[in-house]
Amino acid sequence: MIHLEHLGRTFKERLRHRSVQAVHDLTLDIAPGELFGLVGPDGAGKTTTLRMLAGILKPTEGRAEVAGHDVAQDPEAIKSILGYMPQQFGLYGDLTVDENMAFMCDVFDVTGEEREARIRDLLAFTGLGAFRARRGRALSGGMQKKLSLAACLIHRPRLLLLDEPTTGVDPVARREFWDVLTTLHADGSTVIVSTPYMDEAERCNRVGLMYDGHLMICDTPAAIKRMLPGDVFALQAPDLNHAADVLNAMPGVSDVQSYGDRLSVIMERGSDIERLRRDLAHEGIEAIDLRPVPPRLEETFIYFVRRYAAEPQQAAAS
Amino acid sequence: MKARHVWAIARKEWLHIIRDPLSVFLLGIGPVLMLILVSYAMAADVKNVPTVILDQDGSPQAAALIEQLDATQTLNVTGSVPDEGAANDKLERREAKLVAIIEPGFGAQTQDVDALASTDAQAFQPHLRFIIDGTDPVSAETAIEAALNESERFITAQMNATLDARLAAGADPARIAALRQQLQVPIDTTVENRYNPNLKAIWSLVPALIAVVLTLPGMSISTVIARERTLGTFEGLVATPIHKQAILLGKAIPYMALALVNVALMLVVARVVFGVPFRGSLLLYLALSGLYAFATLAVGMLFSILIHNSEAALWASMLFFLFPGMLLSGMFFPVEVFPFVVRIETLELPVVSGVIINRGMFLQGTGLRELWWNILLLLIIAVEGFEIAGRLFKKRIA
Repeated sequence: MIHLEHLGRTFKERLRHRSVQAVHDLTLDIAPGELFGLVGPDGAGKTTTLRMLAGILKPTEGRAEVAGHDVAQDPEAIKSILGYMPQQFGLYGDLTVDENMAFMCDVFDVTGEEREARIRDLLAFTGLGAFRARRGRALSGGMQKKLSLAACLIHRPRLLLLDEPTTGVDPVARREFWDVLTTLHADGSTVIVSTPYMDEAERCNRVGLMYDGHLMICDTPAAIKRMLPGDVFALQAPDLNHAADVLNAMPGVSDVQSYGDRLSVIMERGSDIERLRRDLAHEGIEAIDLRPVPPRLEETFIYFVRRYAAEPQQAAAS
Repeated sequence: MKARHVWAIARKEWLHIIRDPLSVFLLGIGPVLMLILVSYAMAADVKNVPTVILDQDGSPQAAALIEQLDATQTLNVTGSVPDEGAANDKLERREAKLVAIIEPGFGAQTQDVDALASTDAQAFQPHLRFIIDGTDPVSAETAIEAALNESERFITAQMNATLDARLAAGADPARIAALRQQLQVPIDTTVENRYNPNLKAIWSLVPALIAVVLTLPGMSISTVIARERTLGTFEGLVATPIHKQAILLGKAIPYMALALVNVALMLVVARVVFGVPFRGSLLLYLALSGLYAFATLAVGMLFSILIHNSEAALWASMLFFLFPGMLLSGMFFPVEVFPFVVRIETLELPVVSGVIINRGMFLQGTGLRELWWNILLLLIIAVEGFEIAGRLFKKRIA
């Protein structure tokens, strides 16, 4: 479905006479029917990548093929099979839910009896059935996101590009949103979704981690977790800040990450947990709880991001 | 480009307009309101223009003329002055806008019907002069028109009365008839116009104003693309399969419809409120107004595509339409007085052609034969404007 070769996008900042590379040498293939997650912090290049795939931003380097069409040469060829949901509310706030849906029907040539049936189904599907006469701007943030999704599904697109569809949405609505995405995926659509949330990334077939314009890792969630070169120990202790300082200075510790009331300590494979407990006690840190845990996506990503930040060239090359 | 797409955009754009009170106001009745306000503002002083009299004659006929001038709605005789120096003072202190100077012999002249026969001149020249303050051209024009009409009526009435008396006393009817014939000759009164020699009347102002205020839809449309960018709807719109020309055309349709409604309203206002004659072909006028509106919309659309910030786009189009529209369109100053280079530029402005077409069709009853050059210019602006807009408009966000 998607074939990217050394895709890149450079923005020129006219005022400051410098250029910013938002996406760097992105090579990636996404098969039809995949649910692909694009994960990364703000400014990683996720939106730029999705915009290039949607044919609304011209790449400055490399090639992007979507459904067999080069999006730089012929962006219009893919637009009728494409459902694109921008990060911002992209529908019209002064139009009602119904009017927005009707507009999208006209735009995608959904006519006849099919039209009303699809609008009704999609609004029911997204829980907006009771709000058809409400203006777009009067909807809550979560409802706006759902309306955007409903609108970009009106023509049953083969390819869905969703840019942070759940950012700013409450946890309940987020869960509902993902149920909708899973259903779509089960129906055979290719879905590419960007998200800053790791729990959402877990639900994808494959995940790509973007950071600073680079695709750093790309694999299934399970494979990514196996990439972490070490074991993870969860530590609970009275003074976590002090514990983190001590651990960072300890030989054999490759990363220490803070998660609220506990630390994730990433250590060389085969490290001895009893020895770690002794070393901590020696430094005056009494572990309330210390045990090995299976690595999560989040720990893996943060590990790779930190390694990249310390040595960008080496990390990007690997 | 599919008709359904054009229509979808047009309908959506229409909803944007009618749901924004400011747009409804500006596009719905704005042009008509502006026409009425500006025209009234410029014609506001045309009642009771302060007039002073310098009566060097002192005859009963002079006194009767003064009374007749004062009786008009337009003029208000506020006093008399002993000499021309005092009259100048009054003008300069803005205590008077019009000075009527009745020269010695005026009374006798109005009784001397035999002089009519002896003059082989083209016009009768009474011993009567006017000085007008031309700083406000519209009121000056109206005042001087009233003064001239009244004095002409007065002189003609005086002479007719004398002729009637002679006829009753048994004069030769053929000779009296010949003298009456002479009375048809226009009366040539000296008018000295101070401060502004080029007077323009309300009749030529109103048609020109119609063309100028009809640029409002063109100004409004300059924000339509920028607004989608600002609101964030542009990104979704360009990711759809709508042909870019369909987007532009669809957006222009509601503005075009509103422009045509305004043309009809303004035509009625011009005729009914201001009594401006309409001498051209109505059908042709409506067609040309449509063309004119389309040309201004094409230019507005160009601004909309080139300038990504809606306020900046609005300002740019206002600079383009309103100021040169007012100044260069020939509304206040005739285009002929501008240097050649400026004139070339004004040809590009649809407003200039709009003013020429409006004036011609209202006042002179001109048609295709006389207006073809301006029609051609508007056609070029309309077609090329939309063509270039279509070429510059990219369905991309950066």
